[in-house]
Amino acid sequence: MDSLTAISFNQHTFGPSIVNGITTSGLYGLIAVSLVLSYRISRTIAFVHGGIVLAGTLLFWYLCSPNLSAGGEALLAGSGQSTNRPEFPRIPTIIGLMLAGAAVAALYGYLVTSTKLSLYPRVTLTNFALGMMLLIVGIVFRYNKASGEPGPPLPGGEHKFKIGIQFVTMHQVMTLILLAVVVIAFTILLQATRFGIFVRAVADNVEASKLVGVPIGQVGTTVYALSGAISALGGILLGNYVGTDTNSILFIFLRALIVCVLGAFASIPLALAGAVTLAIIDSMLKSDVFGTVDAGYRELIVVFILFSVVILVDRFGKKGSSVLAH
Amino acid sequence: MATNVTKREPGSEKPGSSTGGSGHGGGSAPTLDVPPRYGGIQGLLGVHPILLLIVAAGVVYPLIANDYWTFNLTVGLILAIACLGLLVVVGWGREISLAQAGLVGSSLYITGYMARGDKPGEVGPGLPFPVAAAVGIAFVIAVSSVVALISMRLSGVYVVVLTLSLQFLLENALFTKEKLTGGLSAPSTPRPNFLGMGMQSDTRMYYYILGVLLVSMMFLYRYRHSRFGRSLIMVGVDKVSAAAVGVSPWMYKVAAFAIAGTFAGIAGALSAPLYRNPPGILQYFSFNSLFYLSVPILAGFESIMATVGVAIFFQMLPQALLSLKINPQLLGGIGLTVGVLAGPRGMGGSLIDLFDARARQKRRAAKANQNKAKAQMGGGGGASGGSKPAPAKAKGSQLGAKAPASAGSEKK
Repeated sequence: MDSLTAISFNQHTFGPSIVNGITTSGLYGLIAVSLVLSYRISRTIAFVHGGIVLAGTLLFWYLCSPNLSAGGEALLAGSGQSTNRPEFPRIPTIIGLMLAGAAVAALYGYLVTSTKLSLYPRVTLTNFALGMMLLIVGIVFRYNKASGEPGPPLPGGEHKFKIGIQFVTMHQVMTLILLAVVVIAFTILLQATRFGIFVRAVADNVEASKLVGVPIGQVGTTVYALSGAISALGGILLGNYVGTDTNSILFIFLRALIVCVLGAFASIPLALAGAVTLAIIDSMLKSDVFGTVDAGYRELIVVFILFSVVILVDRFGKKGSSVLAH
Repeated sequence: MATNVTKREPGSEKPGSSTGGSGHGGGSAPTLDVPPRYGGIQGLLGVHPILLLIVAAGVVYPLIANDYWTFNLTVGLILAIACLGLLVVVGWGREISLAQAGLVGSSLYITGYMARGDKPGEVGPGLPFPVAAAVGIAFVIAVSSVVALISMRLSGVYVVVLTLSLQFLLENALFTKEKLTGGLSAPSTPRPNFLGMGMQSDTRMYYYILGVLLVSMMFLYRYRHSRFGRSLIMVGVDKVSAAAVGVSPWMYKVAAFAIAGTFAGIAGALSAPLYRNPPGILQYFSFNSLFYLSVPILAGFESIMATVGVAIFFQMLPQALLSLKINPQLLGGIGLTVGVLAGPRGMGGSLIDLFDARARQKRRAAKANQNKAKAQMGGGGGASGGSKPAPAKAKGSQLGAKAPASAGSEKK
C-alpha cells in the first residue's frame, strides 16, 4: 500500500460515524455512571457491575427474545440449543432484572461498607470485586444458551429512521434518552436531597462523615444498589447493540472503564464527556474515516489515547482531589 | 556497630569462638545461644520433608498415571509457572495485573511462530526452540515493562485498568493474526531437544517442565529472601516507608512486572511445543486472566508451594469432575472470593501453621493464657491459690525474637 495514500479522509462516512458514535456513547455512559458512583463511595472499581451487565444482557435475551419459527427450531434442534424460551413481556422483565441487579450490588455494597471487609485495603476489595464478577460470570456461563444472537430491543425500539445517510434505531435513541433521565435524576438526588448530601460527604471524606453521624453502611449499600440497577439496565440495552457474545459484552465494560479513566473517576459529567469522545473516535476508526485501520491498530490507538490522558492528568491534574493521588 | 557473636549449639562444651576471625585475640568473646531454626529431619535436609515427598511424588507420577492425566498435570505445571509470576506482582508488590493470560498466550503464539518454518509450506523463521522461546519471552517482558513504567507512578486503580487494556490490546492485535495463531489449519510446533534428548513423548516433556518449575520455585525462594525481594515486599506493604529508607517503589514495582512477564513468557514458551498445534485463543482471553489471578490470592502470599498446589488443583479438578461441568470462571470466582476472605496468608498460610511446630506451640500458649484469664475472671479476680501453670515455653525458643513481618500485613 502506498504510504502517501494510507491515511485518507473519507468525507461521506464522517457524518454517519459521528451519529453512530453519539448513539453508542449512551451505552458507555450508562455503565460509566454506575462505575463512577460506586467508585466515589468506596474508592475501588466495582467490577461486580461487569458481572451484572453480562447477566443482564444474557438473561434479558433468554427471557424476552422470541422463539424461532418451526423451521428455525428444526435447524437448531440438532445443535442442542434450547428453543423453549419463556418470551416474557419486556417492561416487567426489565424492571425485574434491574431489581435483581440492585439486589446483587446491594449485597456486595453491604459486604464492603458494613462488614469487616470495609477495613480491608483497597487492593483487597478490588480483588473481592473481581471475584464476585467472576462468580457471576461463571454461573452465567454454566447455564448460558446464547451463541451471539442480538438481544431484543426495547418496546418500540425496532423502528428505524435516517439521519443523513445513517440509519438510527429507536432503541439507540431511547438509550440516549434513558441516559439523560438517569443523569438528571442523579443530579437532583445528589444536589437536592439529604441522601445526596450524605453521598457527597462520604465521597469527599469518609472519616469526617462518620464523625458527623452519616450512616456510611446504609449510604454505601444504597448507592451500590442504585448503581447495580443502572448496570443491569446497561446490560439489557447492550444486547441489541453487540449481541450476546460474552467477550463483546466485556469489551463494552472495558470501554466504560476507560471512559471513567478519561473522566478521572471524578465526576459523572466528565465521564459522559469521555464517553462521547471515545465512542466517536472508535466509530470513526471502525467506519474507515481515516482509511482502513486494522482491529489491532484501532485498539492500539484507543490504548494510546488512554495512556496519554492518564499521563497528562497525572502531570497537570489537581493532585488533591484527583483519583490519581496515591 | 559490629558485635562479635557466634552461634553455639545448646549443650556444646566449647566456648564460642569467632568464626569471623575477630581482632579480639584469645579472650572470651561474647556468645549468644541461638538454637537452630529447625531440628530433626528438616534441620538435616534443609527443607521440610513434606516438600521432598511432594517432589518425589511428582517424579513418580507419570509412572503410575496414564497419558491423559500426565498431560493434565503438565498443563497444571505450566499454569503454576504463570501464577508464580502473578505471586510476585499481586502478593509481594501488591498490585493487580489483569493481563497475565494474554501475556502467556502472546508468548505461546510468538514462540510457536518463530519455531515453525522448518517444513515446506510452513510459515515462520524456523528458529531453534531456545531462540524462539527467547523471542517470545523478550516480547512479553518488554510489553509488561512498558505498561509498568507508565502506570507505576499512579494509583492502583489505574494499574488495573491499564493492564486490562493491555489484555484487550493483545487479544485484538495479536490473537487475530492467523499466521501466529494458526487459523483454521493450525500448523505444528516441533518439540525441542534438551541435552540431545528429544521431547517427543509427553512423559519427557512433563519432566522437562517439572524441572523448569522447580528451578523457577528455587529462584523465587532465593529472590524472596534476598534484599531485592525484601525491598519489594516492603514497597508492597508501605511504599512511603520504603521510599524513606531509600528503596525506590517505582523501580521495584516495574521489576515485579518484569518478573511476572518473564514467568508468563516461560509458561507460554513451554506451552507452544507441549500442545504442538496452537490452542484456541479463548484460553487466553480476559476472563482467564481473572482465573490466573485467583490462584495466588487463594494460595496466599507466603508460600510458593501453595501457589503451585492451587494451580495444579485448579487444573485437575475440572477434569476430575467432568460431569459437574465446572468452568474455570466459576472456580476462579470461588477461589478469588474465598482467598480474599481467608486473608493475605490464604490457604498456604493455614497449611504452614499446620506443619509449623512453633506456630502450634504459640497457639497452645495463647490458648493456655486464655483459659487462665477465664479462670481468673471466673474465680472472682482474687489472687489465685495454688501453683501457677508454667508459661508454655517452646523448645529452642529464641529469646527476644519477634516473628518477622509477613508479606501479608494489611498496610496498603
